Amino acid sequence: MTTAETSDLLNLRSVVLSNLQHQHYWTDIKLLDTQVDIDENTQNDPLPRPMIYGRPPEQLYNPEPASSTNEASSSEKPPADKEYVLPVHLTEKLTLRTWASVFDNLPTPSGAAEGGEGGGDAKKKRIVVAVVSGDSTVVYYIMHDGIVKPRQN
Amino acid sequence: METDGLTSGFDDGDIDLSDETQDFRFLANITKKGGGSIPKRGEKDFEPDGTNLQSNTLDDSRNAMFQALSVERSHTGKTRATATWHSTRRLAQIHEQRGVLFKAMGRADKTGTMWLLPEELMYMVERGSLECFYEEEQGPQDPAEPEHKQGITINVPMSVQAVYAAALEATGGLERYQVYSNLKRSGYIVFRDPEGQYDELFRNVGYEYKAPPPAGRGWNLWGLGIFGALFNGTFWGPGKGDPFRSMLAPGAYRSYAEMYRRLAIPRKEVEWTPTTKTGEEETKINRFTVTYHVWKPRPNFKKSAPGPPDFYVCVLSTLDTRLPSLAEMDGLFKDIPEVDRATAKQRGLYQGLKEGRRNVILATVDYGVISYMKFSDSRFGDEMLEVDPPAKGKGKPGNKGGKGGPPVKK
Amino acid sequence: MADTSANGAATAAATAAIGSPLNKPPHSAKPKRPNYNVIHADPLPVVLYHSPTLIPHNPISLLHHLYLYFFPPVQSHKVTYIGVFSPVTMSVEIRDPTAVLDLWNKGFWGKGSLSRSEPTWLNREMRRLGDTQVGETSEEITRRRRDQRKEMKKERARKEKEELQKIKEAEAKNNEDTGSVSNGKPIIADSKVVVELETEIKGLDETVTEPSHPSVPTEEAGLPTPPPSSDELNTSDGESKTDIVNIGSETLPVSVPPTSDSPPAQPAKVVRFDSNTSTKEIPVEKKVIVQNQEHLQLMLSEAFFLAYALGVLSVTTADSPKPLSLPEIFKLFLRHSIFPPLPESSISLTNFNPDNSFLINYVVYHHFRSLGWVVKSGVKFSVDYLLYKRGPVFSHAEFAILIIPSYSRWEGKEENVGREWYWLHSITRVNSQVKKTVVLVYVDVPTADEVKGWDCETDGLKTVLGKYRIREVALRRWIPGRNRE
Repeated sequence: MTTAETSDLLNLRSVVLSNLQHQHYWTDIKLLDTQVDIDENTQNDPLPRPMIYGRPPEQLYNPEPASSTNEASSSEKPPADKEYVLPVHLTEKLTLRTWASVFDNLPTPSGAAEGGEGGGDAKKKRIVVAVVSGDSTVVYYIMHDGIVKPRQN
Repeated sequence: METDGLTSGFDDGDIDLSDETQDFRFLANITKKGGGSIPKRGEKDFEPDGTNLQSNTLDDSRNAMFQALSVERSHTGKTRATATWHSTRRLAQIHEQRGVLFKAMGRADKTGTMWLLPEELMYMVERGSLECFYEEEQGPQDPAEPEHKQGITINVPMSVQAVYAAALEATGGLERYQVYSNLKRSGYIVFRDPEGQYDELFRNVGYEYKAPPPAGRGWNLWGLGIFGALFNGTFWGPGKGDPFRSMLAPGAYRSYAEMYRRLAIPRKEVEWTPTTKTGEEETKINRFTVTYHVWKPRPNFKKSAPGPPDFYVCVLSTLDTRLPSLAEMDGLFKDIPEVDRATAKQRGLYQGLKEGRRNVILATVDYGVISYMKFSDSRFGDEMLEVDPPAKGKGKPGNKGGKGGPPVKK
Repeated sequence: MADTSANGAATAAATAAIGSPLNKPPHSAKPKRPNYNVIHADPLPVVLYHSPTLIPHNPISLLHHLYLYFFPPVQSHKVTYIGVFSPVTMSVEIRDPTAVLDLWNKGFWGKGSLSRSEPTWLNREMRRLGDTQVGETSEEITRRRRDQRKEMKKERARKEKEELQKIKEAEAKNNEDTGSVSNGKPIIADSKVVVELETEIKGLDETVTEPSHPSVPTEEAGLPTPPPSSDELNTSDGESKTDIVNIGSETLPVSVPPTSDSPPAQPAKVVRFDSNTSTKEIPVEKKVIVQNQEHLQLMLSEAFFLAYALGVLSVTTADSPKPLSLPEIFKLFLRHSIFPPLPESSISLTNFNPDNSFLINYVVYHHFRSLGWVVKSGVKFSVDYLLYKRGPVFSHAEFAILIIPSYSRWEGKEENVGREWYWLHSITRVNSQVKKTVVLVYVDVPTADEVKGWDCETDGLKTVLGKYRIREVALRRWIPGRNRE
């Protein structure tokens, strides 16, 4: 299996970009190609895979139970967290090494300074995997780096 | 953009209660005076919540289970049945036939003695319906009684573990026995496929189970194969020598069905020539054969003439099999008789495709967990859907019959 | 006082008099279900020839009819649609609105690239920006249902938490009183409330079993979605200057208020954005012009069927308007069967390798399409294809297709890579939850030798396709407890 050329990966990303923007109304979008795009204080090395960083219109899956945050009425909801999106194609098979290197290049979410279990789950690194298939459907999965207790609902 | 998974919960048709751990409190409830009602499936708690309520509930359930298991099991004089295990013949000989189980289990030989297969024996012993003994042994000579030439005969009872140890291998393995007992406990009547019988006594059966050799395929007379070939043969036109000639030449088509017929690609049915590959291939054990014939329970069931089986079951272990290849699938189907045409015609389109010409249930056992799946020999190619809207006034287009076959009653 | 009220009444009456026509938008009377039988009457985008009516006792009609029977006018292929192959999406894109409509209506070909199935992005966008004429789309209906469900789940979680809290407090109090962990009378949680919520949530869940089904017939599926007409798309002519809400491909669609003073989604003031703004009394409605970002995307199998089997599609590339020849299309599709695409050099028509996933998938696609089924992608249910009897608007897909290649005629190749059982079990479980029957479609692939020379024969490709043998096996989970009858 040949390794994906950069242009193919960029094509893949532009499909996901269009989908996020126009079908799902994501905002504050930034394209990530090198490490510097994520963190200014790093090298200019290319990322293992080109990615997207953006804000969904509503907060995506929150591992905390729904009841803990529902007191705010809908008009007071804070803006949703930004997410890292990784485009992949349905027919690709990624190795564990690739997944690991994608996560390694991401910053740990804020507030995870205190280790331990407690607030650990919500502060695990996570990405949104965007699976592109030939009929134009993009299927999205949330992937955490490590085990996260599933939410009851 | 929502993170929306599939609908929560299971459709009732999918609930297999054997997947769940039973709650023995309900048993206690039923058996107490006055009786309880049959419980419905409840909700599982998501996680430990640290309440006494939860841990007390769990304790109650656990205690109810131990309670139920600790009950002493016994036979009464009237219902006691005994048998002896014959290790060479690998069958158990029944001494007194008691109980209703023998209506659908065991075989009597010419002398009227009832014999049980190893799985039947294990099932009955486990259930507490039968006590099994080792073959007669001669005890040691008693020096105190020299006039007895032979020692005292000893009949040693076998524990459940002993029965397992003695009989399991002859059943064909733990997976086969697990499926056997699972089906029996669910109420079915289960016989081995006669090909799998090692004893003469059980090999002759009084019912038809084999598929007749595939003679003239009355089925496919109206299939697309013939029509397809005819229509495609009559199409002349420009494009000779063109491998990419369009399948639908421009023209005046009077119905969409006509167009669809042009689009049909004739292809042969899957056929098998015995592969003469390397010697290694030939010695490969074929696991895809029918293991059990199964009947739904009915009051007038006769062991000698039960009629054709309701289900054919093939037992597989996940340790040494995977999804069958086309050859293995075909081989398995070949042994199963097809549904008769009259019944087949009565079925609607969807039901016909789901049941297929014939079907077999694959029971895959994964470390004790059994999953049953019905594999049906569906032939989508037998029938083309109706593609033209009906003539005015005849109602909505649906699909009742194939194009050429007699109309199917819904 | 009296005056004011009289005035008020008069004004009210006046408003009322003009009010009725004012308040009633001219287009929609009662929301009507679209007549799918009429819209989707043609299963293929090929023209049918209707013989003129025969009047048996009229000799001229008889002769005419006979003549036409033997020498029919060539009718069927009046339209050829043009699609563009895009290496970005690895598919064929259709952008012309008439073609999009035709292809969707006559056989449900393709999928809206920004929609769940039928291309509705333009309508959704227009409604989002306040247009009142356009009907509600299926996406919006589904969205509303999901939001309802989410609310109920939140409610349920809150109630459960409350109950748990109550129990904990009661137990803590118990401990204080008795000074020990007591096994006293257990406090039964008020599970009734929770169970009721559960049932409601389940009720909502059950009405959404298939995401790709455009209009589940509920009361809300009222307004038909009129197709995007061409005049709404020509916005860049500059006539309406800043009045046009133009969503280009670069800008990010944060909610853009139309340039008038009324906020979106409130049909307050009249705002007309097209160039034919008339000055006479205009009803209260809003029309929004948006540039369509969506195209109809054809899977490679669909495009090939339309191009090769039916001959109604021509395919170009972005580089040149000259349509590709069928051999070129074939090679292009063979290369793009996987990601990343195969290099040009790996595909040869003369030394052809039939073990190519595009072709294997195509064989199956063609097989079911030619039997009359509507075949769509099965990615949402982790299968290869879904089969619909007439189309997604008529019924849910009954069958979920899994393609299993088989290499029985190949030397040295393991006949089957043999999937593990758990793979099959997980797919069967997923599909039985949505009431679909999984069908394994074994495709026995011919060897390269078997197909040699095809590229020089008439109907060579058809012969090649015929050499793939197909066998279907339907699967159902069998539960002993439920099959006793």
